[in-house]
Amino acid sequence: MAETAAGRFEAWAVSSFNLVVLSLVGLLAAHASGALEGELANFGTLPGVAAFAYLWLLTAAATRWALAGGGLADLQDGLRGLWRLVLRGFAAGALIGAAFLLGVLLVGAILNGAPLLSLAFIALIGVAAASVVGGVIGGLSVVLDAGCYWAAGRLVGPWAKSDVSDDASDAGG
Amino acid sequence: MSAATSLLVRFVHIVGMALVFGGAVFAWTTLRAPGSGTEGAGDSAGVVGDPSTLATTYEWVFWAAMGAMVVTGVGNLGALGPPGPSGRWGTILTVKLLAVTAFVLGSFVRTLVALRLRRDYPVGAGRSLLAKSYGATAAALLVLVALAEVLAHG
Repeated sequence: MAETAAGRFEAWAVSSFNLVVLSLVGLLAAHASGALEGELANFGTLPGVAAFAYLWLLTAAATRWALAGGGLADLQDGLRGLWRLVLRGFAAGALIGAAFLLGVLLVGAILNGAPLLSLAFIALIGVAAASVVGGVIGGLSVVLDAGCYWAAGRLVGPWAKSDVSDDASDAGG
Repeated sequence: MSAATSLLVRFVHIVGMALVFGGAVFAWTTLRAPGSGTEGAGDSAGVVGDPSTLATTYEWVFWAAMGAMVVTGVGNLGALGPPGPSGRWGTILTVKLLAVTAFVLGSFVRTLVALRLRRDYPVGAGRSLLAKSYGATAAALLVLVALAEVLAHG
């Protein structure tokens, strides 16, 4: 039970962090290139919130699957653990990319009444491209997560030991 | 964007910030209190027994609020009309986005500290590290609020 709760917490934090940091990097890139103004003008509030919520849902589900084996603790196995997580991250990212594009295309087609044949054609090409882009982002996200996990480990070790020894000396005194 | 939608977007953005800032101050003051995190601390009212439980609860709320603030932040920009990359307002936006990105990275390290303490260490371990982390979070959020104020009001 406790293991499941820790797993849920890890998946929630990792998926939310990856989505938030990706959004910020995207915003920064769009702002630096001067494209932000034009992009936002073409995007309504409700469609924007719905697309973000859908992407968050997909990311949470895919991250939970990617971390199901042993989570970020797999990184303690060294490069082999990192490689295993990067591969799962790539697969999860590819699934997110494909499912996101399919969802957006489907909703767009229903709302705009696009013909089924052209939708299938766009989906065929688009899903392949979105899978590759999503996979690369997923793999890179795992590398970023691993760096943060390493930094957290460097912090926790000495501090945890000093707190435990402080408590022991308080109890002894 | 209608006035009501714009108001709702701003409301969610401000409530999110209030939650993460207030929560960080609460966690900081609670965890730095003498006796918190010790085995007998659960008996005394107002003192948290296991610091990682408080930390985990905060992190759940924090990441939900961060997601909501990113999407409503974009909504706010859309309502105000985002600036180009050059000019004073554009530069402030660049600085704010960079500062928020750095803050989010630091926050994820803090979240992983809480996760590792909960999973790998005995109750009470890392209490002072968590207290300092939440103090730093509150301080960083004050800087971000100041940047947001300059961005919104010039």
